[in-house]
Amino acid sequence: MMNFLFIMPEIIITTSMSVILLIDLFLKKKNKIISYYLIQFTLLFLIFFLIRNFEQITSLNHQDFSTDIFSIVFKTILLSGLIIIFYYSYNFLRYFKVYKTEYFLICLFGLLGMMIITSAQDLLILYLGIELLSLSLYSIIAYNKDSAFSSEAAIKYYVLGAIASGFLLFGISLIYGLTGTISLNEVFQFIYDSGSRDAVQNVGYIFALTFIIVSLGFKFGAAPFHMWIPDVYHGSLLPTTLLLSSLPKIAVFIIFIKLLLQAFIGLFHFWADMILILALISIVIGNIIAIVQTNFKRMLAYSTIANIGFILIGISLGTQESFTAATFYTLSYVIMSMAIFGILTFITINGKAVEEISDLSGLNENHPWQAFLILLTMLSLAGIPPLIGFHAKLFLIQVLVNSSYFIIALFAVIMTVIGAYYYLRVIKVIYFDKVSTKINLIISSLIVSINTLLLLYLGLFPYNLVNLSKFLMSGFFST
Amino acid sequence: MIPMSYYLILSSILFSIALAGIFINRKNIIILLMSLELMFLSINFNFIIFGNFLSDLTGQIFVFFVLTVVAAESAIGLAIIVVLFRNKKSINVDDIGGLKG
Repeated sequence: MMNFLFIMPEIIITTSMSVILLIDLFLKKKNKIISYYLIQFTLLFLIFFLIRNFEQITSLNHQDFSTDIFSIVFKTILLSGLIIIFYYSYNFLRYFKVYKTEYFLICLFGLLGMMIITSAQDLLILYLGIELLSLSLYSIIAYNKDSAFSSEAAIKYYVLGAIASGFLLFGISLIYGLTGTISLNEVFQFIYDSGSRDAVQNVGYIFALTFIIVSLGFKFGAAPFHMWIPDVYHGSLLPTTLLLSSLPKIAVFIIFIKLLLQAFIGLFHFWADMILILALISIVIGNIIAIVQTNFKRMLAYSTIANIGFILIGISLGTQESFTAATFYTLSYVIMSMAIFGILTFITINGKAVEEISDLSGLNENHPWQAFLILLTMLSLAGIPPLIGFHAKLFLIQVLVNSSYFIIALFAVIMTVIGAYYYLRVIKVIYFDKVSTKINLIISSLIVSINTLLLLYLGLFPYNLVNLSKFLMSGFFST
Repeated sequence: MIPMSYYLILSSILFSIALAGIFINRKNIIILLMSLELMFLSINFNFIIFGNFLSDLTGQIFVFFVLTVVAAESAIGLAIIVVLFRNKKSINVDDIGGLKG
């Protein structure tokens, strides 16, 4: 008898999605809140299930679909992130009367894709997870169907995302042709056995790797392939931007770990420089172009690109310390972006959602606590102690200095200083400009306050998160 | 027997035609979707050739998954185009410039 425990979380989520979809059909419009609570309950139940069966699941040793500690911990992080994102999104969508249960169900499909990505041990399963994630993202970007911006952003993301998937598949097909296998561990073994470090003998691998890295750059939003990020952030609804800027970043980071660290670590000399170039261009473009933005979401989009550059620096060094720092950076960036977009979903300007930075002028006068929360997240993104953004940048620069990349470390510090300008400008607008708009809050900001104060707490006591990142990465470097 | 490189050259040419079709095309989004389809078919061709020459079934099985995913993908693409057409009354590539990337 086959044991289905290893894929149980995915089965539970798929079944409950189908059931909720059916129940939702028979609910009256004013009772739709029931399906929202059912979805939240499903996610909570899954977290409970994973924690309860942690020992049993992690001891299973399945060949194609791993349920090791790495994937289970990341699944728990994704689930708890999604609960908070749904809470923010629900209030926003309800207030602007665009709420439909299908929005959350499509997000759950995305979650399913991300969960498959964390467990994939096989290029085929990895590809299916990536596609499930991308397909649901295309649909929720186009969700606001009366807005021309929204559908335009969706078609741009769709075309670029499809090209990226094509590149990824082309790379995978070449890897399959060269090694004769699609299992990540067997690919690693094959490259390890051939043992050549000569560029001429490895030209096939380099060719395939270039395609794969270009497509991952697209999915991550690294700099020469960043064109979709500002448009999509600007064009879609705030909850969609909140979702896009947080959890998929973790998922793509996991893809980087799976492909580059697990399968292609033998080709480290060839991919390290490619990733480093992507990282440096991202940091420059993100920080410089963000300065001239007036739209809040566009500014945050460029700040995302800059932060992705920092994560890629950690990946490009390829040591255990650098990957630990990159994991720490990814997790803290996700908390930061959830905090800032979470605050924005709670604020309405003259009855509309926040668009321009100047919309928030003089927020401090009427809503001092919300202004303080934005102050905290902006300082954290700028990398000012004692907030978590400071530690994230500090660890990465420490790793750079330890590996004697002094010039790149100096460059990163200078770019961080340039980046501080546009974060501090938001604080200036909030605290020192005259009130020009009527600002309302949708509901009380208890959860978002906890989320934001977490930045301060983790900034003061970062060692739990550091130990978690160390622990997650240790499995890949034990051999 | 035809050597493998001939097949690979063919699939690379198809891939390049598809890519050129995406970037050069300035008229219609439907043509863009057709180019995407051609791109995925050229990749499928790659998988089949490798599977055949390695006498390994994995390549052929991979193709079935890719075909399914691509069908779903173009369905979503067409749905987005319908929404776009309702908002803009046009599906010309040149008319999509409201957001300056």
